Amino acid sequence: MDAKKIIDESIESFNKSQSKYRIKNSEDFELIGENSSLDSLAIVNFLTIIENQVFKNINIKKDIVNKIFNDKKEKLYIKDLFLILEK
Amino acid sequence: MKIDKLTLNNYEEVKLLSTKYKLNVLEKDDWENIWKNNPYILNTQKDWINGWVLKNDQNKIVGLIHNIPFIFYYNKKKFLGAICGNWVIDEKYKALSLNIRSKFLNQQNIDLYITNTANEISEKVMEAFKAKKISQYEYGNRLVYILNKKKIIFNYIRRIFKIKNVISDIKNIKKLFFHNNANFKESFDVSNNFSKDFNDLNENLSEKKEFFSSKDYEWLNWKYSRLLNTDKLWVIKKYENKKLVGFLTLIVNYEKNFHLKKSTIVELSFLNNNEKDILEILKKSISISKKLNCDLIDVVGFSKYKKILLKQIGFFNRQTGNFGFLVKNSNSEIENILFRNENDLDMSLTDGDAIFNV
Repeated sequence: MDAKKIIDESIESFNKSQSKYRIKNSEDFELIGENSSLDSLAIVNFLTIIENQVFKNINIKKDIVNKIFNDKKEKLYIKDLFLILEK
Repeated sequence: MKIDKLTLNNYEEVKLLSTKYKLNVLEKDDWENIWKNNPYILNTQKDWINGWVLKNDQNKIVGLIHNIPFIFYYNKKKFLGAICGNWVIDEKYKALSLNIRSKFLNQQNIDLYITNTANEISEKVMEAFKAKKISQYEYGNRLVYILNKKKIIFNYIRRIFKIKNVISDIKNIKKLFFHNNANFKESFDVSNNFSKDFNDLNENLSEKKEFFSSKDYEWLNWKYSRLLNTDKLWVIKKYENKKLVGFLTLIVNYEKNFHLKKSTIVELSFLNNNEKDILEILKKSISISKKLNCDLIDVVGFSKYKKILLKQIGFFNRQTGNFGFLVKNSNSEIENILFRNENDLDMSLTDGDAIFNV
């Protein structure tokens, strides 16, 4: 699976889908955590877009949302998504 | 920032935060009763987590979620549900709200996670965590029976320009004139509380292939504790040869937006699902609601069979509000019952966190 392609496409798709929030395509962009600018709806919308992109690319339904939160990390950066997708 | 377990000592802070975001909070005793007297917690003596709170660096609660155990039955088997409620987070910490929601949705040894008061946001969040709407027949459709035609029609006229589907509403008004024939021969016991014989009823009901929440004496007493022995709770019981074979529960409340007094049917269970018995008890509930000067009766939920009988007696669909019943299931045994079967589910409004709002 090309994680970079999936993340790039997902960020682009999310940013196009609304104008309230903007996700920067940078490894250090904080998605979840005290310094994140996103709200819960924006976060789940983005993660759902990623799940859909994964399905589109490799035809596998990956439960990324539960995976992220089961890891019990307080923060999530774009770079963490690479690790999750590559696992 | 840290996430802690919610304790009964947190009431004042819970109230403060919830009120700030326009969420209703029960009175202190009723709020504590949710966990202090919950039959699952009392009977199992297990360490149940009441919920989670997000605390900022000053140790102030800035987010929270309730976690409440509920028992369900299907075909002689018992299932443990967790109900979430009061999910709220201070605007400043909005990016952490999913962290507390996920605490609720990723517990161990729970069969199903439930919310039935979800707004658009929490519905999307639940769905992202792989929760789905149950497949129960027309769960989201509220059924209404009009008692005070004059007042309801007056309200319709007053609000006519705000109504989106005028044609369907005019049809509903027409129904008022053709369905109010609540004549019946009664053989019921009416009270404002539940009796011990609900234990036997629940045991017998649990053998049915119907998925429902416990009708056990302890559970019903807990669910409706703040309304027991008041004129807000009416329990109509049907006996056969001195054996309790079915019951219906009404909650009387006031719909502020419409200035209407209404009764809500929140429980309706029968051992044999005999059409005549159900119709008779529904007629009895109409009669009681009339005597209590209610303007209307409403119902959310119940099995397809009961819904058809409710319509037969004159209840009609009124699509208002959001009555989604969302479940994240972690027990493969009930996957098909919850999501692929519209006949075997018998859930009502008070089988989720909506119980704390009625």
